[in-house]
Amino acid sequence: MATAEEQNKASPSNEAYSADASYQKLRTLLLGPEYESALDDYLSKAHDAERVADVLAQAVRISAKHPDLGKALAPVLNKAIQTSIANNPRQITNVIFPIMGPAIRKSVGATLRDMVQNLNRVLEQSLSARGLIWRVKAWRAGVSYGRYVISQTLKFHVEQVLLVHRDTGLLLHSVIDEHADTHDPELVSGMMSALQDFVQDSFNQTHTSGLSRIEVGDLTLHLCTGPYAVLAIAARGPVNEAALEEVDKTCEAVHQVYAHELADFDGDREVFLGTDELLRRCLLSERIEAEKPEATPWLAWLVLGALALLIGGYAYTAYHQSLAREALRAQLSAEPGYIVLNERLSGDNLLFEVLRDYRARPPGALADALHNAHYQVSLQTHEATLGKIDLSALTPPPPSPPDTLAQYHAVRQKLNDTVFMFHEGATTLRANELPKLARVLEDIHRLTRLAGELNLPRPQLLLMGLADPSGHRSVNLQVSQQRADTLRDLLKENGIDQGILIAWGLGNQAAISSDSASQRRVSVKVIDASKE
Amino acid sequence: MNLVAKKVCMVGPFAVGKTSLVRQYVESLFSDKYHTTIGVKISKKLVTHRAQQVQLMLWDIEGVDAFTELRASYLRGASGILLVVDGTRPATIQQIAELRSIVQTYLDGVPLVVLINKSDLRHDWHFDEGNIEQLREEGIKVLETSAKTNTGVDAAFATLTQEMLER
Repeated sequence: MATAEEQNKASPSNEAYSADASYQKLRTLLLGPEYESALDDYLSKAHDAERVADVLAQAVRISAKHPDLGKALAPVLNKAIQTSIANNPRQITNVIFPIMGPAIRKSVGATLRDMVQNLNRVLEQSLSARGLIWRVKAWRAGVSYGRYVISQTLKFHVEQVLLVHRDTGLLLHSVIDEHADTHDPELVSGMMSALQDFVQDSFNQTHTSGLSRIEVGDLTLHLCTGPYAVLAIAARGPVNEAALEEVDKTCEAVHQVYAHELADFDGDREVFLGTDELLRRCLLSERIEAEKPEATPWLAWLVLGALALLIGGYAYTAYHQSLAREALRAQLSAEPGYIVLNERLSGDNLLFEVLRDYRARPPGALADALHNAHYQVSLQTHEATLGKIDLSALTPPPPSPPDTLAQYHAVRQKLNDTVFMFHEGATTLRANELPKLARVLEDIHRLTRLAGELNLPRPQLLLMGLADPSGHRSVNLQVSQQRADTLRDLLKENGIDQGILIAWGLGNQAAISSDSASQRRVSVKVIDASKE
Repeated sequence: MNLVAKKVCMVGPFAVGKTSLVRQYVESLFSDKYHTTIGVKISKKLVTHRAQQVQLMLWDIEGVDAFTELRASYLRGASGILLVVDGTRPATIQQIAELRSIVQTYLDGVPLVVLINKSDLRHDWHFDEGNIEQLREEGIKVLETSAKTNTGVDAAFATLTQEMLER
């Protein structure tokens, strides 16, 4: 102590310094030199870190109650997360996968369900009588069908939500219902602000109170005025309390989340794109009738059922008619002296083209016998001799030179051996078959001339069309008939009397066993009174 | 750069051509018929100034006369003012000072451009050039326009846009 006092006296001007030095000296005297090193060690950085680490968890827990800690940590955490993802993207993928997977599945499922529901609704609205009446009414009222449906099915319906900057009247963000016919929201928001200003000005209202509702026809504007922005909804029909409450809540939420952006607004509206989700909450509506959930789309089923019945009925009738035709054809074929060449159906009238032996039952009697519930049957007959002619009924021919008869038979044989080939599915003559035609023409003329010389009845030519086995029976019949017709027309065009030509489509004849190519043909058969 | 929106107010005495200027600028139309504006009419026009797109919301405010004073509440939040006068009516030039002081009361420091309209009738112009010179000395831009012949209209709005962005 005495020493310290002496020092103090010695240098009074440097009092503070000497006091420090004295304490240090005293400390050394009392605690020894080890104390100094221990103290240095305690105050070192390594020790600092240890001490902080001991209490860090506790400190964070205490500070968590204050918002400042979150603010201070946010940038650090952001940086840390960024670095972590950049270093090892796989890790973050593994972490978020179990969260994202179900969320995506759920979202896709919900979208699909919505789509089906919407489809049902559209179908119901388009097909029902009510839907048609509404369409007409909407057309008469001059509004879109969608809007008319909304007006009929909804008590109220919010068409547009506007977030407007209060001072400038500039539109910050807006959401519009897809069915609404709306004007430019920017101009609407401007005029709305002007109207607010006008009312406040004209009735000496303060800036804090303003318009809360504007009604125009069935359209109502509800305004929620906050300190910086006005949230307005444009709705048709009387808006319920719950919806207005939602608007107020949204207005508060926007002010809470975007407080700084609203206060410092300088015309850049990009920052308010984030309000979209909030504003969408206000696109509310209330249905007049509670919709039946998952209702069976009975209307669609009814339409489908009616269609099925119609098709079934038609098929049933067609089947029975074809059976009846089949029976008629069989009956006609079984009739002695008749060969069915062709059949044509026009309305209820079924016309059979037949080859008839002159001795067979008269066509009139036969047609009566063929009476049928489905068809009115008529016959078009080609009188033919079919080689069954009773030669005794004819005046005996004068004896002719045997070589004339021989010539006649030779030409007849030649014609009977003639075939015309066709390509697959084609009904026009193959080009390389055309030269045959000239020879056949010549032979027909010769045969007719020889028959005249021999006093024989004029010979007729049966042109029998055939088809290969591929394809349906009815198609084959048609193709073979067309082939026979082709040849008949060719002969007719080249001067052969149509009266002696009979075209007959036989379809495919399974009995004729030959390859497919040779089955696509027309064979010629001379029908005459001469003996073979 | 983000699109920014700015509120611009057209102020001035009645029948100087505020509505015609806006109409010519926004719709490229002009009509000789006079319709008095009641209250305010709002139009919009997108302009680009040095790669910055600006959505101008044009508040065409009713003209001021002995019975109608400038409704200041319409000015609130404006980023720029176009003060329009009529070159053929010297009285309107005299009103510049009064209107400017009203605007400044509500919007201190907001860019203001003076437009002397009806330059197609320049032979009928008779006013004291001294007033205009004084404005120019104060740093106020004064432009001549004609909504009828579409002279200087685009330039007027472009000048104000520039003043607003480079303020």
